[in-house]
Amino acid sequence: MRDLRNAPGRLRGGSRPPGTPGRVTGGRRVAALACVPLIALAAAGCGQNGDGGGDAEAVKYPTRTIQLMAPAAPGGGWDSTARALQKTLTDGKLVTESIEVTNVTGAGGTLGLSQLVTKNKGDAHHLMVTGLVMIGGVVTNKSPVNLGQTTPIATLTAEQEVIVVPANSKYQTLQELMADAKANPASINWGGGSAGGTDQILVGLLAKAAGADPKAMKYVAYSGGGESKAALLSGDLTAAVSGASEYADLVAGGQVRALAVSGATGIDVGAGKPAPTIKESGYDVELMNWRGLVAAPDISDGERAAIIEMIDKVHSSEQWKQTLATQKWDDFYRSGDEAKTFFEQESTRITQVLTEIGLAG
Amino acid sequence: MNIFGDLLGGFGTVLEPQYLLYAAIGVTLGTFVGVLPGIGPALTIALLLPVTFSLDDPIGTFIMFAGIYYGAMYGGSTTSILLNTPGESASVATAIEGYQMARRGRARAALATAAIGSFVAGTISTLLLTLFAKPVAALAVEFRAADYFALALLAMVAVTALVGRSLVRGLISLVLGLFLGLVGLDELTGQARFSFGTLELLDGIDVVVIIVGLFAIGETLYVASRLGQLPDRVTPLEPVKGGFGWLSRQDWARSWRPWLRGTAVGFPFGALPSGGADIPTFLSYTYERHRAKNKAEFGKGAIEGVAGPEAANNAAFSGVLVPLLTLGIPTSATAAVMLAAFQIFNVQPGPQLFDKSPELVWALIASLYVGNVLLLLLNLPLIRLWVKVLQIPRPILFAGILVFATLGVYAATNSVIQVLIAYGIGVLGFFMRHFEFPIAPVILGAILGPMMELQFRRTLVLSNGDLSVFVTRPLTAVLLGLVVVALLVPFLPRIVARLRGRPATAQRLAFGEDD
Amino acid sequence: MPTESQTRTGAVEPAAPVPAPRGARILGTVLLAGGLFLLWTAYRAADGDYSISGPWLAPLVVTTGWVVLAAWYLVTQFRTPPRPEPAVATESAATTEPAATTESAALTEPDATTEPDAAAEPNATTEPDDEPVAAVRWLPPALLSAALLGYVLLLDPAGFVLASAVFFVACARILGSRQWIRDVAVAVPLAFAIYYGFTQGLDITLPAGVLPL
Repeated sequence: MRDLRNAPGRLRGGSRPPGTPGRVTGGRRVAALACVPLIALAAAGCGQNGDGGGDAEAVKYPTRTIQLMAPAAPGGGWDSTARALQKTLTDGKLVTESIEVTNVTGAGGTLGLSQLVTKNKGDAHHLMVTGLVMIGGVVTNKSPVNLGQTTPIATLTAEQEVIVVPANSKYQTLQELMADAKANPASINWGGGSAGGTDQILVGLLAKAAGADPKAMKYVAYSGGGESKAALLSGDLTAAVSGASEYADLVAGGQVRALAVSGATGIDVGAGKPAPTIKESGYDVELMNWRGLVAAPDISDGERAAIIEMIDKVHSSEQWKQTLATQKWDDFYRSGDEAKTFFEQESTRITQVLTEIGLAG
Repeated sequence: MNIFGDLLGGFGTVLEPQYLLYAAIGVTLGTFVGVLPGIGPALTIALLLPVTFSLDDPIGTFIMFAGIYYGAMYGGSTTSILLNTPGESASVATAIEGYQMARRGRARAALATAAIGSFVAGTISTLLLTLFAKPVAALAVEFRAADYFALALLAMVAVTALVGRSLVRGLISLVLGLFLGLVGLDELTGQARFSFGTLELLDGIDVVVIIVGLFAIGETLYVASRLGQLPDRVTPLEPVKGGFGWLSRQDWARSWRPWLRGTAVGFPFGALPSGGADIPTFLSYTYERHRAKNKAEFGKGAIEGVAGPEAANNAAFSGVLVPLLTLGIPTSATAAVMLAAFQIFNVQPGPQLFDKSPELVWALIASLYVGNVLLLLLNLPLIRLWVKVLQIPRPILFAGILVFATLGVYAATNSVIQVLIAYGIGVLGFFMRHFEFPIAPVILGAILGPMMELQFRRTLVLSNGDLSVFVTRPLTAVLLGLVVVALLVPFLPRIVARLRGRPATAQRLAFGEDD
Repeated sequence: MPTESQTRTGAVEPAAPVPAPRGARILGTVLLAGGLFLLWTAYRAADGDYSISGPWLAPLVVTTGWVVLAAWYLVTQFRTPPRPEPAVATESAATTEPAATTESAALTEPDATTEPDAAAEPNATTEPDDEPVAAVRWLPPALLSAALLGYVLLLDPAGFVLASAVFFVACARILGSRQWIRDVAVAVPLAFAIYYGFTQGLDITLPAGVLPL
């Protein structure tokens, strides 16, 4: 038996004794305040190794509270990413100012996006967590603003997707499933998260790669992972698509079987051995549910460089590595121009597949 | 006996002083948060999630979460009873009779039956969770989309008693709720409905926003329009008549059966992967109304109408834990957040949880028992304090309600637009009160409507448009058969009378009563 | 706590009954117009897609139901003899109400008229029978609505604490309070307590606004 009080996934959040929630949260604020005397010192440090690009003036950043927006409700993936960033930055004293996380919920993150692009334009102290889902949201919600209008900072984390079938299903491999999906699309009930989300995007990409009509795939959307899980177990669904860790215990318990994962290398999703990737199964599809960070549009090059440098520091910190391990997030770090290119590529690819599924109309 | 051994081990863990402290903190915090309209246990736990990183103690964290949940549920019913301002859908049914009781000076009895009923239901349902988690979960996942549709339809038909005295006004309220439930992205196709081109309406109108608007804001506006005819203080309090826990002997006699019946309906509904806590509270309310000997008292503060829904509400939570712990399926917002918390501690709920992390599971279950007891111990004495709220001068009290209602919606959504939507619905609630439209059907429509539509369409997509699935599956067919029966029951006396060649007598069995 | 002796000034106002079904008729017309607009919206958006599993069937059904019910309501308001404004006199509401729906509701409510006790709605839409009859006052709810609007619009620019404190005092005044000092003494600490409780305790960001918090 494992001693849970020493579970591996723990975080050393400073030396606080367990106490009331108020005290602990307050402690975070105290940590931020404790940084204040260091402003001058750290700012000087910033100036010395500010940027290597040469074209941008070294700037002092941040000069006031950073507003970090999670464009979703508390408790979700974007929110936990934002709060993990906040914690790493303040605990590690990587910034001199405090950081506030704000949640702007709505419309697959596009509500937050439009706020960042219109209201916070040119303000470098407004950052926002983003991800693959937002690109889908921009397309399906016909959002007037898109991710390309923001200032890309970095991609941070990613999670693979998994395709599962019930244990008593006749499908043993992805090829068998896709063969039927191609021959008789109406016989396969796909299920997963919300319409136009990562799960449906994967089904569309997969259909395309298998030579089937993405539009003909019967995809039933469920809110949240739980509902599609229940639908798979009740026999409503033939196959379900979800984040890789979602089905781990059911796979390990033998109730469902993982056919493939969507990343570049196979990972263990509960069966005790790595599941094959979609590529290994013969379809040229790779899809990561990634999350990243963008800043408000129209900020100066110097500010952009300073933010990138700040996030670079987060990425190389010990605490961030521990957070990744705890949350089971894959490290998916690209910063600056690399991130910009990646955002653009994903945007093109996702828009195309959603159009083919018929969700962009 | 193995289960009891494990459970005892769980108690051994939980009864350490430090964990009792966590439980007490949780219950207290939950009660305070639950009092605020719009801020429920899910949001509180979500916000405390980052804190749990630093607590570094999974058992303590979950003990605290369980306490928060129970506390928040009880806090929500307190404001429903005292001020007619339920904060979430599960306490709307409580508000119907509870507020009427409070208006007649029986606030203490209403709060007491709610507290004791929650305790009884919580304890029994936790026992059910302890003993039958796995078989119940196995049954629960048998439910398919078609069954959920039939179940939602059955619930809708069963609770039409809430429609009230005037059929047309009740139905208009219901249609209004159905309409509010339609606003936003269609879940299946992602098409925007009634969003009028705005991004703000794409996610629909949250039931919490509707509830805060209709109740807290609508009620305040209504009170403002009738200032002249109201006494200074909200409610005079009936003098304490003795009896344990502010319940008279008669109150006890009238409460205990509704507690048990509420538990019986709450637990299985909670365990269904698309169940939740709100539907069983309405079902329990309707059922108590049917059974009541003195039907005229319903609508004027019948204690059964508080005892039943409160028990159902609390029992549903243990029910929700069944699919969460055994299959990793969260069935409510709170459960979804708790699942996230499990994952932070590297614990994956599912079939193997009981084998892999028995210490945690049994400590969690034991903490439910402890949480229930603590809740009772904290809240029975606190009733004395809570009813003091009614002594606050009316202008201060209602100004406070408006500030808290605004705060609740704003803090939960961080959006001025959502607050404005709540205000708009509040103005609507004012006019509904003024023209005597019942409020509860709106909530009902907004909860059940989307569920019915979604499951109906899902069924048809899954069956490739074949309508026969609704009759070929035994479970679905039985549920739909019950719908037909429920529809016919009110007419039975009439039909029977006609068959016998006599004119209908004035007795009905089911809905449309004299509320 | 000081008593609220002056809230009852309204009781002096004459309890004149409001002209009877005019309000309800206006409401019925508004409901009907709203229903027709929403039905038209759904019909246009459906664009010919009436498939049984499609996204537009439910909106069409619901809005059609709305229109039918609104029309029904409007008709009953014109057919019944004028009756007093509902909440003004609950005693008479009990006796006149069944008449309003006898025609169409007879099937489902066969004995509505035989229930003598059919007085109170479950949601407290009517006052207990023992309370005095008084006129409905429209000014306070109107002022309150305006105050709410001002509150939410000031929330971001002025900040939570300032907006809430000002709103609280204004609101108490509209609701009949004449004790400025007491109201301010409650409002200011309350606003600060909520602000710090939320921002520090729960980590929910509330707008700080103009105050240096």
